[in-house]
Amino acid sequence: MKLAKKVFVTLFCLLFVSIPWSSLHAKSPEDMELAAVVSVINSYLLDSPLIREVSLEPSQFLQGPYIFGEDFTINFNRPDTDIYLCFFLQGLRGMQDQEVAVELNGVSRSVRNGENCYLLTSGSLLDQNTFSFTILSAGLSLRLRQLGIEASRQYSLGMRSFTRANWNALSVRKVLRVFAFGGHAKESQISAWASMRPKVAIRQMLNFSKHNLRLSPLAIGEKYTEPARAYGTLQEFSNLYLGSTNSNLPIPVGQRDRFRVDAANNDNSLGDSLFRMITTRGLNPFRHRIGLWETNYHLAVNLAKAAVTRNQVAIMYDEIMDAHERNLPYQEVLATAAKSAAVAAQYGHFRNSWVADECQCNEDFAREWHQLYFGIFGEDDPDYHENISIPNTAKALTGMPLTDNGNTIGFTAEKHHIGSLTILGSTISGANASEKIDNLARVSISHPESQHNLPVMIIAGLADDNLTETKKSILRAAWRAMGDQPSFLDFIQAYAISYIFHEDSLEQFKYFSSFERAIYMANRYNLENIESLTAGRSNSLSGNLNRGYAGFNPSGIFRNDNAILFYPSHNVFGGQTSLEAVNSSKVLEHNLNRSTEFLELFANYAECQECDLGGPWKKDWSSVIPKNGEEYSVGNVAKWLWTYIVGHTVDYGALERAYLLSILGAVSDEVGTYRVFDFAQLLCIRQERILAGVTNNALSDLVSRSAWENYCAFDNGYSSSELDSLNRVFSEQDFTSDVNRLLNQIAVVELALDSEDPVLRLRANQRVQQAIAFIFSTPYVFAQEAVQ
Amino acid sequence: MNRRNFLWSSLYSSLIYGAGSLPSLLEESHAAFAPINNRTLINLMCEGGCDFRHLIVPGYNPNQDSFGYKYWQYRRRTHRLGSSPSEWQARWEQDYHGFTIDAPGTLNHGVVFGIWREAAWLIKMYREGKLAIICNAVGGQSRAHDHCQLILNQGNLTSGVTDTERSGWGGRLARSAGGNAVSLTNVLTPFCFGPLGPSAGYEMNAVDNRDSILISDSRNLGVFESDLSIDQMSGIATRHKMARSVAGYYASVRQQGVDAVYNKIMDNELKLREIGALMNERIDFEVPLFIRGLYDDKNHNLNNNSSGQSRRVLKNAEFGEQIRNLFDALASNDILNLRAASLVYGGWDSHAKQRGNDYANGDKHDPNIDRGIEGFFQDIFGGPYYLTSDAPHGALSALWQSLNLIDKEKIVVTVASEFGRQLRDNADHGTDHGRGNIMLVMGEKVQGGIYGELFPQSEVSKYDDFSLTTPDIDGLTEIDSIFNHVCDWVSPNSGQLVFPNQLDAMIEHGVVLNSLFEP
Repeated sequence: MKLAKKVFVTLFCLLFVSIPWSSLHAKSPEDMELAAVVSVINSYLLDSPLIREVSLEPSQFLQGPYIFGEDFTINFNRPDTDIYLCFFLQGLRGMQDQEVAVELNGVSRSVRNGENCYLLTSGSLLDQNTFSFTILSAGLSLRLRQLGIEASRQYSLGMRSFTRANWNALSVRKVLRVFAFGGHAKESQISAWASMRPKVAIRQMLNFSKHNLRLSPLAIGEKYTEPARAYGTLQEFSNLYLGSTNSNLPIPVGQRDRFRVDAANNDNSLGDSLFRMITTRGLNPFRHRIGLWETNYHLAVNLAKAAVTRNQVAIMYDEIMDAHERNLPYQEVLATAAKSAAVAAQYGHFRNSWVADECQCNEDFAREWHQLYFGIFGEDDPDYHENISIPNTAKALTGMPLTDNGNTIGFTAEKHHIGSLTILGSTISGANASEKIDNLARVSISHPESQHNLPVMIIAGLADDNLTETKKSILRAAWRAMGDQPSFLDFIQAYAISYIFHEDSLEQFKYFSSFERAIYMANRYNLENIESLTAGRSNSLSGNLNRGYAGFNPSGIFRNDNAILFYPSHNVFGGQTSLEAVNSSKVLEHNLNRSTEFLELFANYAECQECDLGGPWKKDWSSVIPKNGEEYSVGNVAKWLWTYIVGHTVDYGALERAYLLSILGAVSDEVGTYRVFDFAQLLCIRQERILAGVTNNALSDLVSRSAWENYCAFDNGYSSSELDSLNRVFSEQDFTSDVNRLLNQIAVVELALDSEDPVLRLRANQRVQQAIAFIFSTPYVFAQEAVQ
Repeated sequence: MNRRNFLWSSLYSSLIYGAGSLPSLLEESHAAFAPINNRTLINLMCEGGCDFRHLIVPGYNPNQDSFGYKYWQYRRRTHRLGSSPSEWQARWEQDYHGFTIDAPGTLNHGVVFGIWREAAWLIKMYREGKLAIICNAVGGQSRAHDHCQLILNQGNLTSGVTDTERSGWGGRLARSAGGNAVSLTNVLTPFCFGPLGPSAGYEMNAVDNRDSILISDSRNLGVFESDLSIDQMSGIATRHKMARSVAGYYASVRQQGVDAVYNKIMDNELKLREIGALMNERIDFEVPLFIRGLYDDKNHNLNNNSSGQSRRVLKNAEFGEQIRNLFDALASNDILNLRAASLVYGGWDSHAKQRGNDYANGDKHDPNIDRGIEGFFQDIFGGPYYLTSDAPHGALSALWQSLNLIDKEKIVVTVASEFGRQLRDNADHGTDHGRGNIMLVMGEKVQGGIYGELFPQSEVSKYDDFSLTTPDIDGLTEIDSIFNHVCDWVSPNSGQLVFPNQLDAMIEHGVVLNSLFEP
C-alpha cells in the first residue's frame, strides 16, 4: 500500500506539473474533467482536501469536486448584475444545524444536499465576498461540485432562459417529453442534466447526431447493441439492419424483408422502420422527432399519391436530416427538401417545362414553397404574390426531370427557364432549377412574412398549442436575431430552455398527436431493444401465437387512430394534428379500450417463450425502478411509475395513488390462488365485513380467501348494494383515516420484482405493466401541462 | 330495456350557462329510426378547392367571342381534349345534360349550361327545383388552402391562418338552435367547433366543444364497459376490473376537477360513455342496402363488375362510411339533438390531370380507376337517372333513397369548397387556385334555380388577357350572405347570431337570397 501510494504521488506530481494551476479554473469540458480527476486523486492520496478556498470570477464554472472535512471558502468580487451562486452538494446527513454552518459575508444561509442556488443582488454584496462552510460535526466530509456564478437573468437568442436556479428534473423531463418522445435517458442522467447549467445540458440533450448515448443509452446487458454504433439513417436502418438477413435481430429472418424501404409486401415499411428508429436505444429520438415533423408535417409528402415512392421519401428523409446534422442554415435544409424527387413527384413539377417561351407548368409547389415551407402568403401585396411571385416560381421549377429510376432529380438547363426571374421582389438567377432554388431560399428566409410566420409554425408544430401574441413576438425576435443564416438547432435549443417554454405562468401546453402519444408510450414501456424491434409482433418460430410477445406496438395505435406515418391525412398540409387527436372521442375510445378490453397487451407482454429469435425473454422492471432501501415497496413503485410516465406528480393525488396501489399491491397470493383486487372491490369487501361485525380488516384479512369468497362475492350475481360499491365514484371524503390506513398497508407491501421465484417475479412485472396500462388510460398521456 | 335518464354533457354546462339552457333529457330509447324532429343542416366540405366549373359548364358556342367558346378553348386540357372545337362540342353534347335558362329580365335568361351527366342525382334535384346554384360565391381570398378552409368552416371572413381556435358556423348554428353539431368524419371538423357561451351571447372567436360530437363509426361506438354479470374474481375478469377502475377514475376526476388543458379529454370521455350506450341500443337495424353498397364490396350486387362480382359503389369508401354515420345520426337525431352535421370529401386540389388517368376507361363504375375529380363528383352526385339509368346510387342519392319524404323535408344540404380554380387550365391538364366559386344549397324545401350571374360576361375578356397571369372567378357574394339564410331556415332568427357580420358582407348586385327556401 505504501509503495502504491508512492507511485500515485509520483504520478500525481507529474500530472500536477504538467497541468497549469489555471486548469482548476479552466472552462472547457475536457479540462474540467481532468481537474476533477486531479481532485479525486488528491483527496485519496493525501486524506485531506488540498483546496480550502476557491476564487470565482463572474460567469465562471468549476466542475470540482471539492472535498472538505474542514472549512471551505468561496471568494468572489461584487458582480455588475444580480447573480446566482450555485453548487451541487453531497454529504449532509439531515441535520444541517449540527453539521455545517454556512454563511455569506457572515450572514447565516441554509444549505441542503443536492442543487443549491442563491440569488444575490449586486447591491446587497460587498466588493469582496465570502461564502463559507464551517464543519461542525466531526468526521463529516462534504463534496461540492459544479460551482458557478451566473447572471440571474440570462438570454439565448434574446429569449430569457431558465438558469440553474429554476432548471430542475421537471424541466428536463418536459424537454424530453416534448422534443424527444420522452427519450431513454437513465434517471441518473436526468439528475445530471438537472443540475447542469441549462445551456450546457440542452446541447447534450438535443442535437442531431445519429447516436446520442446520453439521451438513448443501451440497457444494461443489451443484446441488440448494433444501433448504438451504426444504421443511423432511415435507409441504413431499414435496408441494412431491419431488412437484412445478416443482422443480429430478434426478428425471424423470413420476416425481415417487410422492413426494407421497397418491401413489396408492406406499404408501411417506412413508417414501421421510423418508429423503430425512435424507440430503439442507441440512436437519437430527438433527431427523429424533428425528422418526423419535417417529413410528415412541415414539408410533408404523401405515399398515398401514386407517383410518390418509398425510395424517394427515404432519400428525402435522410437528406433533410443530414442537412440538419451539418447545422446548415435552415433555408438550405428547406432547399434540400425542395430539390428531392419525393417533393417533385408529390407536386408534379418534374413535368414543368419551359418551351417556346411558355411555361408548361402547374403552380402547385410554386405556391406551397412559399406558404408551407417559409410561411409566405403574400399578404403585403396579394396581387403581386399571385400574379408575379407564384407564376415565376413555377418557371423557376422547370427542367427538373426525375432520373435514377425516379429517385433523384436531374437538374438541367434544357427546358429550364434560364433567365432571371423576379420573385418576392428580388431577382433570382441560376443556370438550372437547383441554383434558382438555392438563391430563392436565401431570399425567402429573410422575407418579412417568413420571419413573422416560420418561427411560430415551428414551435406551434412541435411544442406549444397555446401560443399567445406575446410568445409569438418573442419567438419572432429570436428568429430574427439569427440573421439571414438561421440555425434550426440553435433556435430549438434556445427555446427548450426558455421561460416561454418552462414558466408556468406563461401557460405553455402541448396536446399530443397519436404519433407523439404512441411513440412516447412505447419509450416509457419498452426497456430494451428486443421490445422496440419486435414492437409487439409475434416472432414465434413455432407459429404458436400463445408463446408470448415483447414490446409496445405504436403502429396499432396509428392504425386505429387513422394516423399513418408518411400518409398524412391532410396531404401536404400534414398528418393528424395534436388538436384533432385531443378533440377526437374516437382516439380516446381506442386508448381507453387498449388499457381495458385489450389489457392482455400489457399483461401478456412481460415474458415470452420464443420471441427472442426462438429463445425466451423476460421483462425486468427491477432494472430501472429504484429500490426503497432493500426492497421495492408498492408505494414507492406507484409514485415512481407515475413520475416516470407523466413526468411530474402535480396530478398524483389520493385517487391516483389508491388505484395504483391496488393494482400493484392488493394481491392474494395464497397457495393455489392468485388474485388481484381493484380499489372499489377491496372497499366493497371491507364494507361488507364491517356490516357483518367483522372487526379485523387489515389488508391481509381483506385479501384472504375466506374474505373474498364470502364478502362482496359473486353468488349468481352481485346484490344491488354490491353493484353500487363496485361502481363507486370516489371523492375526497371517501379517503377517511381507515381507508388511508388500508392504503398505507398496501404501500408497504413488497413487490417481488427481483424475487428468486420466477412465478412471483413474473406476476410482479405483469402488475407493473397493468399499472402502466392504468396510467396510459388517464388524461395525462394526451397532453402536457405547465407545471412550474 | 331499462329506463335511463340521459344527462347530456351540456347538463353540467348548464351550471355555467344557466339551468335549462341546453340539456336534452331522453327518457327512453327506441330501437327504430326516430322521425327527424328538427330541421337539420348537412354540410359537405369539399376540401382542396373544387372546380365546380368542371361540373357545371357553359354550353359550347361556336361564336369565338362568347363565353361558351372561351371556356372550352381555355379549359380543353382539363377535359383532355385537343385543339379542335369539334372535340369540345362533342364533349359538351355527349357528356353534359344541358339546360337553357328561361328567366326573362334576368342576366341568366337564355344562358345555356350543362351539368355533367354522371352527376345525375344533382341533375334530378335541379330539374325538380330543389337545387340552388349560388354563383360567384367566395369566402377567403388568399387562395391558401388552410386559411380559406378555416374561413369557410368558421364562417368568419376575419379569421387568419393561425386562428384555429374559433367556433365553426355549424357549431354556432347548433348552439343557437339549442342542439348539437355532429361530425361524421374521422376527426371533429372545425365546422362543428362550438362557441364559448350560451346561445344568446356567445363568443364566436373562442371554442367550447361541449355540444360537438364526433361519430366516426356509428356501428362501433363506445368504450369497453365492465360487465358485472361476471364474477370479478374470475380469471377473465381482469379487464373488467380495469374497465371499472378507469370509468370510476374518470368520474372521480370529473367531480374533483382537473387542469383545463384536460377538459377536452374529460368531455369526450363522458360523451363516449353516454352516447355509445344509447346509440348502440338505437342502431340495431341493418345499414340500408344502398348506403352499405357505397363502401362495402360484398353481397349487394349494386355495382357488379363484368364478371358479376359485387363491388362497392364509391371510389372513396370512407365517404360512404360518413354517409352511413349520417344516416345513423339522423336515425338517432333525438338522442343526439342533431341540428348540424358535417361531412368532408377531400382531394379536390386538381393542379394536374383533372380527369385522372383513366378518364377513357370503359367501366365508369369501377371504383378503383382514377377518374380525377369526375370520380369524386360521381361519388357524391351520381345516381340512376336520365342518361345514366344504369348507374348505382351515389352518396347523396343513396341517402335520399333511404329517407322518407317527411324527414327529407327537414333537411338542407350545403356543398362548398374553400375556393374555386382559375379560368384557364395549365399544361398539366389541371387548374390552379382561384377565388370565386359555385356553392350549392339543396333540399326538398329549397327554391331551386340560379342565384347570381352563372357565367359573368366580365370573365370573357380575361381568358385572352395574358397580362392576367392567374385569372379567376370574381367573388361577389360572400358566405355570410348565403349561409345566414340557411341558418334562419334551420333555426329561425339564428342567422344574425351565427353570421353577425352579414349586413356588411358582399352580395352580388341583383341577387336576392331571402327566397332561398319555400315560405
